[in-house]
Amino acid sequence: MIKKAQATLEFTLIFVIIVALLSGLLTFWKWSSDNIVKRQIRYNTTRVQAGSSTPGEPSGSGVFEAAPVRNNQVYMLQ
Amino acid sequence: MVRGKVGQSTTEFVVLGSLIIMAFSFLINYSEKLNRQQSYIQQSFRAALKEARAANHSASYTKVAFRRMPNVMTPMELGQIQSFSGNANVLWADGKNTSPHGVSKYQFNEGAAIDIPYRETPDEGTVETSENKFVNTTSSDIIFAKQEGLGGGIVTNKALQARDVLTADIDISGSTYSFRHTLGEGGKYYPGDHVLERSRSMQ
Repeated sequence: MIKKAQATLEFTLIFVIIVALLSGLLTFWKWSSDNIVKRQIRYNTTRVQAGSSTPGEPSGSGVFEAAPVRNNQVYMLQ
Repeated sequence: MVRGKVGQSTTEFVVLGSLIIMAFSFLINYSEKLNRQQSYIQQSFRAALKEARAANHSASYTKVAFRRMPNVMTPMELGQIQSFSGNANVLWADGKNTSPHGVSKYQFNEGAAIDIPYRETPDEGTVETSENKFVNTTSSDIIFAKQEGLGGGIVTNKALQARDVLTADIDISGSTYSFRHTLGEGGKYYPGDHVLERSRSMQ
């Protein structure tokens, strides 16, 4: 009887610890994969802006009339 | 008998726990690596675009960086070193008043990008080899302080002060460039002298 109780306690303890570790791992993994997606979206949405401004702007290209690129925008994706 | 079983379960837990933390460590490092690689690829393209726009010509931009990864198993020690690289070639010109050649830049770690001089295209069939040398010199102090208050409270503090000097001789387009960078914030290497500091306290 005592041995059964001991096994139950041990199982419960290990189970709780493993669930906590797994949930931590899954949370981290989701955060990490979300980062990749968010970074890509940010990259895509700033692409036109990054390529506009003189010199080098193709003439008559209205698509690239966004605000000029600031130097620090190169590093904003870090 | 009971004592023996307690010992057995403890041993099992230690073995299983170590395996789980190892799996953790691998997965965290892997996802970090994917994240950083993506970031370096994007950065190098943006930098090439900026250089091409400034030069009104084509630009080639290469970024190579070493970084210390998070140490999951022992957080108060330096993690393993990983190298990342990104390269982009961009032509961004209006076709007017262009110089005969584009620009080429190489950035190592967080230092300023260096200009790679223009070279004539080698003859077809020419093979060039390059020899690069990277040396890391590391030293670290781990400080553990325990403070017991009169009211019964105990505060423990664990701190890491790590110094890591990376010296590199890199062959770029036939010339050797030497760099001396030190480990700083975010596990990145910067020119100048830096110290990586990390601390954790518990009450």
